[in-house]
Amino acid sequence: MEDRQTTETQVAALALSELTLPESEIYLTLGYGGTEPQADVRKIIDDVLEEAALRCRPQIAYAFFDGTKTGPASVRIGGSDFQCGRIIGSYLDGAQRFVLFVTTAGAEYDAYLHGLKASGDIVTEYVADAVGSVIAEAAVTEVRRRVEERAAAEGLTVTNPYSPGYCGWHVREQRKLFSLLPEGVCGVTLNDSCLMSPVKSVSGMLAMGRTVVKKPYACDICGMTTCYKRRQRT
Amino acid sequence: MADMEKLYEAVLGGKLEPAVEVTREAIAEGADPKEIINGSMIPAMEEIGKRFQEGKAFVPQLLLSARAMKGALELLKPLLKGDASASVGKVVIGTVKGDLHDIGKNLVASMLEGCGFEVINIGIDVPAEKFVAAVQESGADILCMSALLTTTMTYMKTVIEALEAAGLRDKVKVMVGGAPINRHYAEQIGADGYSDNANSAVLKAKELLGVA
Ligand code: B12
Repeated sequence: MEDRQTTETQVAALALSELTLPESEIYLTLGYGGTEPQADVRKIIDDVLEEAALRCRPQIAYAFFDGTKTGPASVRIGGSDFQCGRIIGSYLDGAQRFVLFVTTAGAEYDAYLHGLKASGDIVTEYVADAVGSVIAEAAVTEVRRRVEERAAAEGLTVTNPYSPGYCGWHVREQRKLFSLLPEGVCGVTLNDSCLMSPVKSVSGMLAMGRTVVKKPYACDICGMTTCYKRRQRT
Repeated sequence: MADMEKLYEAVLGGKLEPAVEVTREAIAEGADPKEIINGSMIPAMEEIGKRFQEGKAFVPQLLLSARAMKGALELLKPLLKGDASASVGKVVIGTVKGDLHDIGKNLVASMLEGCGFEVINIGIDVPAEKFVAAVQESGADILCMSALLTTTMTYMKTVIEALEAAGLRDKVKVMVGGAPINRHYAEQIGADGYSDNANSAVLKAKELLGVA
């Protein structure tokens, strides 16, 4: 039972308009902790968002698996053992089903970023880079929304998304994660150093159960004390 | 007379067109290019950098200033040809092999350039041989390396070892940075400098070359 993928992998190509890109997230990613950018920067953000609406083809993929926590820092999902670390492990008590996912802002967006770099306009390049990060994360929020809908129908709660590379879960474990999803899913590939291409991509896991808890995004579990996202989200 | 106060304000406020316009006027009037750079532009960059360090200005503003400065510098460059003292120092910068993260490195490159360094940006996914060759060919004063992940940052040590093997290590300062790097790691791999943002990267580079 434990080893099963319980449904086919759900894959969707989205329009940017299907994602929610909160202004506050864009500002935060640009380094404005709590303040708003002045008019000339806001204009650049608007231009980038307009361009993104035309070019960006975000994709999401997710699949449901049976699984169990096998130790304080380990979990078995779809028959593969993951060393997710103690911190993430502590949030998996009571988890009975798991979702593995990949999201990406897509190759078209990477191409847009490369084009901007070639143009030499560093300000727009920086803004577009930050917007790409927000898009990749917004796609994770969309995966979670879809998973929550299904979970609710079954009376289950869904945890936060957790990703290899965070909180003591080694970034190399992405290999196992990708091996449980169809090859070339969403057009995302992993290189030898476990970096995903396109760059604006996220891989991760959600856990479901009757008793698992969804925390407000917990900076306190992340070791990166200097992160610009830290202050606001604790 | 070209209004040099206006040039200072244009660079500080990140306004490209006015910065270029005043510079053009000043050149036409026969102003000394070095005086334009050192008298108005560098002080403006220093001021925006100071505001950034104090949390009163943000990254996009730094970059707008750097962009204005760079636009004006383009006009001055042909007049400075052959004058080595016009550049604060020469920097080779790249993201290490296995890593495709561009933006952090480009921010650092842009700020260094905006602050008077000559910057040779050799891109992403750069193998050790290419770093060594670029340092050798350019006679760079500083080599800057960037990485996004803990899996790729380890390659920085490989590059430092390659510099040693090529007999270049004592001729070039090495600076490292990127999200997973900290000062401790930089020291551990034998780098000379580390910083966690593009503004302090400039301060560090100047410090290493004794031009602070
Ligand atoms: C935005 C972000 C993302 C975005 C975009 C990533 C991208 N490459 O574009 C998204 C959401 C897509 C993402 C995905 C992932 N991320 Co991420 N991400 C971040 C975050 C929050 C900011 C990175 C960023 O773009 N900053 C903005 C740029 C401008 O800053 P920067 O690159 O750091 O550069 C500045 C300084 O570092 C410095 N600098 C940079 N280079 C140099 C060089 C020199 C010489 C000097 C002096 C200074 C210097 O100056 C620059 C300008 O100020 C960091 C955490 C953080 N706060 O840094 C995590 C972080 C980089 N991510 C992390 C991880 C794990 C991932 C994923 C692997 C997660 C996953 N499983 O999906 C993926 C990997 C993506 C991939 N392609 O493989 C970890 C990496 C640690 C590790 N274990 O290796 C970090 C550090 C988070 C953490 N808390 O641990 N991520």
